[in-house]
Amino acid sequence: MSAPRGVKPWLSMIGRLAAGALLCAAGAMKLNSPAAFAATIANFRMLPPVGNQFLAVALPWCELSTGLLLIAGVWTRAAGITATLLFLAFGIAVSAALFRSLDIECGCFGTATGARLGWTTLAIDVSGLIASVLAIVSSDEPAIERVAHPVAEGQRVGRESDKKL
Amino acid sequence: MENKMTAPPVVRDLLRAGTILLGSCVIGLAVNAGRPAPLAIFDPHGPGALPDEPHISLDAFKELVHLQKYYILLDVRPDDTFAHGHAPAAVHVPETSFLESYQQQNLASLLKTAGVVVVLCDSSECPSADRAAKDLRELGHTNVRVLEDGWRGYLRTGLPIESGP
Repeated sequence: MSAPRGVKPWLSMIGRLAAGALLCAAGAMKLNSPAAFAATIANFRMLPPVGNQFLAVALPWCELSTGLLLIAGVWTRAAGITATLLFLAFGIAVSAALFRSLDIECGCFGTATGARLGWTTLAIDVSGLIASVLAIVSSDEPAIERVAHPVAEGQRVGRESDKKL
Repeated sequence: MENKMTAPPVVRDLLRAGTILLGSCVIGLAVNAGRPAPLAIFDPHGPGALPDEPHISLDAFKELVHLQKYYILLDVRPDDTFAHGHAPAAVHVPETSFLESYQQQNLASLLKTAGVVVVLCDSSECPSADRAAKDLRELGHTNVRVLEDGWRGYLRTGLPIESGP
């Protein structure tokens, strides 16, 4: 998969690593206190209690695994799609809370920081979203995928059809 | 003759993204189940439920003020919004440091002298008044009420306002 024209490979790599680092940090800091995180999600007043509790258990792992895959460069585009979905969901939740003037804790990096929700939170989300989109259009073939698939799929199919001829 | 079916890259990436999310959810649920005190995901009254403490209507509050009954108005909004405007007799205890302030300001003895403790935050959308009321109830204060629609509601009562810390 090559990057669309105009997207520099180094820019794609920076996006991939930045989104990965952001998600890893956010996920790791939420792992140890699911109950406190569930209460923080409840403050957004968007989901029923069961939904808040399920997210408190599942979301940190979604962030962590997506972040690790992005950093490692495994399933890069798929992880980029997941990261984009996550940052889109965060952006919607934060925007809705800001629109309703909710004075609540962000919970973005766990509950220990006590950071309040604000425009900075939305700016971080938008930055993460841009970085994730850059990861999707990533052209830097990571080392692990290069070992697993030494030849691009299209080329391999082409060679097989050559043999048949 | 070899008939090899390969999914288009977009479909493959979407399937992988779904796998990442689903796998992360499974890991999260498994880790939660293995905790010494797992979070009860399906408990509708678990930590993901917003506290819903008894409220006092604006009419009942106005009556309380006009009859000069001994009540204490506890304003748990942050410093900046409190300084912007508040009730003259309000006791300011930001919810972010509620329990620390409760002990430092010796609120226990003050609140016990009041017939009713009325807690307010920004509006009905903010959870901090309910949380503070819940904390007070757990600390042994029985007659605690959350002001309906918080500060927005107070503004509608036409009662006096002052600004500053």
